[in-house]
Amino acid sequence: MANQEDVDYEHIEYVDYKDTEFLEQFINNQGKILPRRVTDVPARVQRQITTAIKRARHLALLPYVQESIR
Amino acid sequence: MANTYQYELTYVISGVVQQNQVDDIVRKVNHLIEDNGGDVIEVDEWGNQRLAYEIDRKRSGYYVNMYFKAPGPLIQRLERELEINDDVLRYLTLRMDAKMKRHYKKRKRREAQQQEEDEAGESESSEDDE
Repeated sequence: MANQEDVDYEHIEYVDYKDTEFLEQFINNQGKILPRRVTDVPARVQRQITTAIKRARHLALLPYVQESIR
Repeated sequence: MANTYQYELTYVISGVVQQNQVDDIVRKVNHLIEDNGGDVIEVDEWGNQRLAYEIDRKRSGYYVNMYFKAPGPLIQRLERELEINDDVLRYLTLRMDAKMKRHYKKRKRREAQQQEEDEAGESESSEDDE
């Protein structure tokens, strides 16, 4: 997740579970949610991303475990 | 009279279900809301999509995303209906707070603008404004 400094995460108000393209940035190749240490987004946004990913997983928009390693 | 709130509901109908049965389910859900003091704002059918993982041996599902106003107790009955229906693989109901409403309005506005631009620049070559 290099060169992320130019992206303005501070002004994100709501992270949508439907926006899978956006959420895919925050999961690794196994389908795990990346830690904040790696993503480097504000804590408030990280919390929203986490719930959004979990909602998307429930609706099968995102995988719990990536197909390739299952 | 119970308080009414705005909700967002997404549900996934099994991909093997025939289109007319899909329409039946969507109609049933809408009627259940409207017959019980609710108000459907928008129904957005995403259509058949590949599921990220297999559910009950099914690899695809028909996604329906909708927004509505309804009294709180209706949600339990609605979710019970969806739970009982074997063709509905997944559902998610969220009560919209101020942030979600703003986000929804913003998206609507963007879509309306996009449509205007598309109509205006029909003959010109379309370029992404990002």
